Amino acid sequence: MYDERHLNLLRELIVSEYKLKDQSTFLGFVWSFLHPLLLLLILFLFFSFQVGAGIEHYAVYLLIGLIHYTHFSNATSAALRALRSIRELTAEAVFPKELIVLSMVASLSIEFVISMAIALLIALLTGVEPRLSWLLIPLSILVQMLLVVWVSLALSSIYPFARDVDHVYQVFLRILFFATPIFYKPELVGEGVARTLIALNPLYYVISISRDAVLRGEGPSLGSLAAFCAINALLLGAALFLFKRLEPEFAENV
Amino acid sequence: MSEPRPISIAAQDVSKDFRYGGSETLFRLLRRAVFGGKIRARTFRALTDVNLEVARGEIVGIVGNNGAGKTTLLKTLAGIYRPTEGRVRVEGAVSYFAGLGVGLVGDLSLRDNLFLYGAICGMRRSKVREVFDEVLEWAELTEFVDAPLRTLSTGMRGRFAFSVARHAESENLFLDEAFTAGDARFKDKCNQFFEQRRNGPQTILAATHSLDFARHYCTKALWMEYGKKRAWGDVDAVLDEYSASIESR
Repeated sequence: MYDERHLNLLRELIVSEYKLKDQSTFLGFVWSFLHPLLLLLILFLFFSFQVGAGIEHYAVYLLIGLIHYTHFSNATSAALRALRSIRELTAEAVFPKELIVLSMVASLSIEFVISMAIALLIALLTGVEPRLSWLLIPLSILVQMLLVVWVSLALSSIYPFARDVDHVYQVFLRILFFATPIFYKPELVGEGVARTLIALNPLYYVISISRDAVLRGEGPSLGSLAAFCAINALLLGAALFLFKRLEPEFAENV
Repeated sequence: MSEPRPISIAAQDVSKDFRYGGSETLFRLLRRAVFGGKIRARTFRALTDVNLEVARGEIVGIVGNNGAGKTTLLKTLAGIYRPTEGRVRVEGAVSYFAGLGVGLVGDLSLRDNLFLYGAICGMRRSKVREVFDEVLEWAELTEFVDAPLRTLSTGMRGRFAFSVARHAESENLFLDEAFTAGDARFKDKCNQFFEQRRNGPQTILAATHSLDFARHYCTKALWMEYGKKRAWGDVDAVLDEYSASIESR
């Protein structure tokens, strides 16, 4: 289905989308890291006294959550609009259009990888003991990508037909920020419905892989990891199926 | 007589409708998904029952007034649009080029567009590098290599698009007004390209308003009118009929 020509095209698309985003300037990149850092500062200022009390290395705990959330939010939002933001190609060129969405996700994931590296450096500087489990970070990056890719494919294939998906999704992202233990511990919400929602939250699962690896020297249980990957691989298949079904209608609707 | 060449492009009873008005919302989509019901939007039939068979290596000139369905036909055959009815079959890859440089990204420089569109046409980076200078020289745009495409004039964009198109190696090349944007000098150069492509293996469909071009370089002609195939086949016969209809108006 895909061959070397598609890989080559994917690479060119990644380069193009990266350049289109903020003209790949140095400041453009600094901003993309400054954003979670500023959020971190504010959240730390307000929550470290009560909410963050009892969380060891609260700043690093926050930072890891913020980097995962920011990447999820930025990549899926940009991918949602990708077919339209580069409509010259969606409507006027012949190639598999999922490459547009994948390249958008990839171009926004470069920062994610670098941000994670910087987070490890900050962890080291703030006195977190380096452990072998830090080597699990690439795994959590891959798992996050799996999640982001299927969400992006599903959203981007609906967007040409219903633009207001964007508005609804932005509200959802805002809710997700508070419904995911980014600046608090899951225990904080008690044992009710909220706790169940947290247990079902795939983004929180990925965040915990990173946090456990960096702060506690633990890896995910193989069973939970296998189940997570299997479910998300299935959803990826479903999202790709939906995308390919709707693809011939994109050109006239974007 | 040589053996008949294999068919590379076939359209069977192809019709294409476009919806307009009645913009969709998520709420309406969901309501329809749950309760069923029809889309309440008006449609416009852009193509009606088009049947077409094009043999490999043919250069087909598609003529017709504005709004006759030339672009819709090319895009439907290219697979960019899904036909509302009927079937399309195309052997091999398709490269589609529109004259005004749509299909190229306005905010990217010529350099970036060249690498990107080269990749869309199936060219590797090394191959693009190989032809890089030649493409810009041919289009006479070497000094604008780092300028964003949108800063170029329409004619310049047209030259650039066609210059890239010349290198597309795909089996089928669809050109939509790709060579009418330029000046006389540019047209001369385009003509040289088509001269070389005659009797080649590449199948070319070219929508054009230039009857001279069609007469000189095309091996078949198609006249589209109001979304229907009005005449098809021998170039001179089709074009004579088309010009007669224009004059009688």
